[in-house]
Amino acid sequence: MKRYLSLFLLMISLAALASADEPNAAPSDLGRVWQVQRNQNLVQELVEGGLNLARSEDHLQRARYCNELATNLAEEIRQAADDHDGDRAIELGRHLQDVLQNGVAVNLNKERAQVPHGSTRETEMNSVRIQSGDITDHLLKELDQILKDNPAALEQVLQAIQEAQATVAAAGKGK
Amino acid sequence: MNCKEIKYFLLGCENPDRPPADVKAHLAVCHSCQDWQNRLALIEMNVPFLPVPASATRAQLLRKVLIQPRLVGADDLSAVAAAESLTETRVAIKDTVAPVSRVIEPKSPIVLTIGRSSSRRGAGLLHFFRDLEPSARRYAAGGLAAAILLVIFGWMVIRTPHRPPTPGSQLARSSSDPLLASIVERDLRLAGAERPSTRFLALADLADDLSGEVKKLAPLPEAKGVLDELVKRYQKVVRHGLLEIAQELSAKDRDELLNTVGERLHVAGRTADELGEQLGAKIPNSSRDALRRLTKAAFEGDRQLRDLRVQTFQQEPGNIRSPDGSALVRRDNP
Repeated sequence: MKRYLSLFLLMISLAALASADEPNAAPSDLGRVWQVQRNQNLVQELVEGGLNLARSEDHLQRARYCNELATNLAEEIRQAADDHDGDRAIELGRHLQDVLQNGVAVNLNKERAQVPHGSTRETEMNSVRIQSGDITDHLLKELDQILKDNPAALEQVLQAIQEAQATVAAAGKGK
Repeated sequence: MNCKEIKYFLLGCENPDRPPADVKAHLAVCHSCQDWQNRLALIEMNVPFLPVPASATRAQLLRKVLIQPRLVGADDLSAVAAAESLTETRVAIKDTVAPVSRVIEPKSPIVLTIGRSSSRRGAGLLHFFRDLEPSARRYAAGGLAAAILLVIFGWMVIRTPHRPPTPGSQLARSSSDPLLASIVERDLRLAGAERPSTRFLALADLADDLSGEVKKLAPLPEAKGVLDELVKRYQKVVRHGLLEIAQELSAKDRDELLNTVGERLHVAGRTADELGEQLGAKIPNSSRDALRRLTKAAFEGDRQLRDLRVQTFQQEPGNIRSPDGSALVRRDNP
């Protein structure tokens, strides 16, 4: 009789265990370590870039530094796409969009307000703009191929980059 | 065949007094085995004469078998109908059991379709268990328990939500990195900052981001590899960022900013130091070392910012204080 009672209690416990709600899966500590480790190089580049930006008061130079940050982000996006990690590509795509729009384009616009048309500085501005265009052009072409197995992610990343590209292309042209 | 094999064979065969030819050949030459066979045959011969205690169980069992309805599937109905050309089937039980007869008809209530009554089947299952021998009942109970456990575990496995790779659903692989997002935000503030004070505060925020991450990860032994890099970045931000930009701060808000950021550095250093003490031997040496280096860099930064405050104070006309700045106290910030 005791044996049957024990068996019954065991089954009740297991049923309770099975029906219990799973705890919400917060990112685990190990996952966080892995995340920081994965972004280690990018963090290093972004901190260096931040220090460069802090030291510089020249808008054109800041736009160049932002292009360097964009280059690093583009490389990481490419890597994420290679790894079929669409979510990471989206995350980095948004950062790239921010850097291009609020870093490169904003500084080009500020520079435009200070330099006359036809000046050497204007040529340098165009050069920075072309450099930004190259970064995004290459990335768009490659992502189209690499990320085609994840159309939802591809669409979001492409949209972010294209919007940024359009903003930079228009930046510093009017006065 | 040797003697041992012959004995095993005789024990297992139905008629030990009538063995096959090869066994006979051995018995013909082996007197020991012959004696053994004779004794076995004698036992076998006397077994039927052993007294058996009176029991009514056999009769009850036979009665139950005959009374219980026979489960017949719908497909079997035609076969049953064909068999019912005899309108009646009578089964008589010999000896101890009184004659029992049942009529099996195609439309009879005892011709059940499968799945008709779960309560009757449950009762049947219970009867089945009760009628089993105690040892068989134990095996059956064990088997049933194992089957139930299997079903429960299967259910648990099925219930475990399978997360498809949708945005934001995967663990660390897909979730966005708050440190990265924060650093990008600081960089963009620096990219648009026109005044040194804005850059100074953005760098202080960047330093806090890094020290905060170090303190978050320090308790994890697995993080020892990343802590070193984060501390290096922190040192760089303090030494080559904050201390450089501090020189550019305008006299107007210089003292206030130096005091504020110096205090933040001091707090960062103190909490890192306390954490290192608190965690002690629980974390690897390299992690403790990383916390120590962060503490040192923070205290060093705070000290240098205080030195700057002293210099500023001394340069202001009308202020005459001791060169060590002992008169300079940290103001509490709201």
